[in-house]
Amino acid sequence: MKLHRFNDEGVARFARFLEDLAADPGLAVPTDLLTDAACTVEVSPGPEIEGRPFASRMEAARYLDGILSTVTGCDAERDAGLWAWLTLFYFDQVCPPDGHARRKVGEQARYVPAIANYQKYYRHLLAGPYRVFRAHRDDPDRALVLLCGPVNKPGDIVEQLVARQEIITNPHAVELATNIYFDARSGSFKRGAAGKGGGSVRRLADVLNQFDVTWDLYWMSADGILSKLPKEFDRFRPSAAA
Amino acid sequence: MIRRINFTGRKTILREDARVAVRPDADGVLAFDAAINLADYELPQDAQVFVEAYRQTTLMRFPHGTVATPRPPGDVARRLAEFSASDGLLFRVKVTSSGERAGVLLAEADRIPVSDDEEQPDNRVALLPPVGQDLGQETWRLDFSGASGPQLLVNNRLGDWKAIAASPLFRSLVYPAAMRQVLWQVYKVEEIRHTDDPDAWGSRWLRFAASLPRAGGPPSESDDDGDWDEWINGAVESFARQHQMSDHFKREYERNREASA
Repeated sequence: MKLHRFNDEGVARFARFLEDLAADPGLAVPTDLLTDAACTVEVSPGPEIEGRPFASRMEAARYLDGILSTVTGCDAERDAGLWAWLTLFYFDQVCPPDGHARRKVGEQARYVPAIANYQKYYRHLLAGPYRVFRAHRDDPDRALVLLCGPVNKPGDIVEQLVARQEIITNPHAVELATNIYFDARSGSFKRGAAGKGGGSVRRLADVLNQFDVTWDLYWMSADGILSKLPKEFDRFRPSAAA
Repeated sequence: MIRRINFTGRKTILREDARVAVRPDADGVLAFDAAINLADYELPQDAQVFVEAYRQTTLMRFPHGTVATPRPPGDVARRLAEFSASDGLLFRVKVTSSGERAGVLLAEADRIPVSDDEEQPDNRVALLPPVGQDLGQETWRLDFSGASGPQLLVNNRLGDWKAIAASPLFRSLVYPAAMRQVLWQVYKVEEIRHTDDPDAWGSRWLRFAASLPRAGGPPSESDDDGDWDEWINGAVESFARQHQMSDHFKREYERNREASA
């Protein structure tokens, strides 16, 4: 199918569907909106988009980056209509049905991006990983800890790190988070990384927030920051996990 | 979130000493020009200066020479290729030690908005940047969720929300009320009472309010709501008087009434 974006009417109708779905989890998905001429505009230069399954946020972000890097005439990252359309296109992945064909819909910002809301803009289930991928596209693997999860479940680690602008835009801080919390054997997070305990990602965010007052963290390498972390992080250090 | 403590005495660069203008190049790509004055900060001459442009998950960092020898990036190097528009774009200036304590942050100016030559230098944009957002049937709202200070949310369902936010009618009705709400938030929720904390956005607001004619300093040693209420009311009154808010409102209201008659 050709890539489209929703116009205001399309976004409004998709948002209404999400509200209705919250009240009636068995509601049919209005896929006809995807090509409704009153609700959509074809995106230039007319790239094709495939309804393929994504094994992870990384895979989704990489694929969408490939498509959207060809797009002209709109600011893909900040185009709410584009991301709302993509969400409906991949709706079975971002809001999968359970065994009884019922869907549990989350907050609206997960499906229609709250572009100007600094507390929520990163929560969109497709635009969120795409933004992380774009921010680290010179070496996306450094952001594995933020992109290894499934599309529909970003998790607390993503919430804690992507919410902090000073962290998510800093390649060394993101590399550090991947080095200490990503388990290459399981392809997922290390046990204890989420939550609120010592050495958890919440603590890392707080510690980096404090370091940021004293240090220019862009100047420091991931290992340099690691060497300054307090003892509570020892159990996550790469040498401790090996 | 834990409160950040400035153990090393990092200096805060004043807004008037770090200004950034943005303009489109001939091909439409944005580029910036930074005017940075570090003469009065007693910084090491070999300290490195950096300018960072950022918005949400996007950041570009530009070396700007040293304190002794500023070296702005060349015409091509200062292009903001990662940003297609200046909406919501902010800048940061960092001065970083390069000697034995390499990497230590010596001074910083953060949340520098794109300067607008036509704008009055009243710190309005710097302190309370307006942001368009779908607010349902509300016209405006303050958002305190960001770590670096409040934002003035304006309902983007209204259409040209930027023009609305800049209109005399909106400003005269909204800004005094918003200022009162922010100062109460600083006192009651943030529990910031002093003007000298360089890291706390609340301190910046207290400094701004205290700088208004006849407002005076905040009752920093008092926990009495009445004392703070009196001071906040005085500061808001001074702000409204300085910007002739009521006169602006009356003039706009009369103009609108005549236009619709």
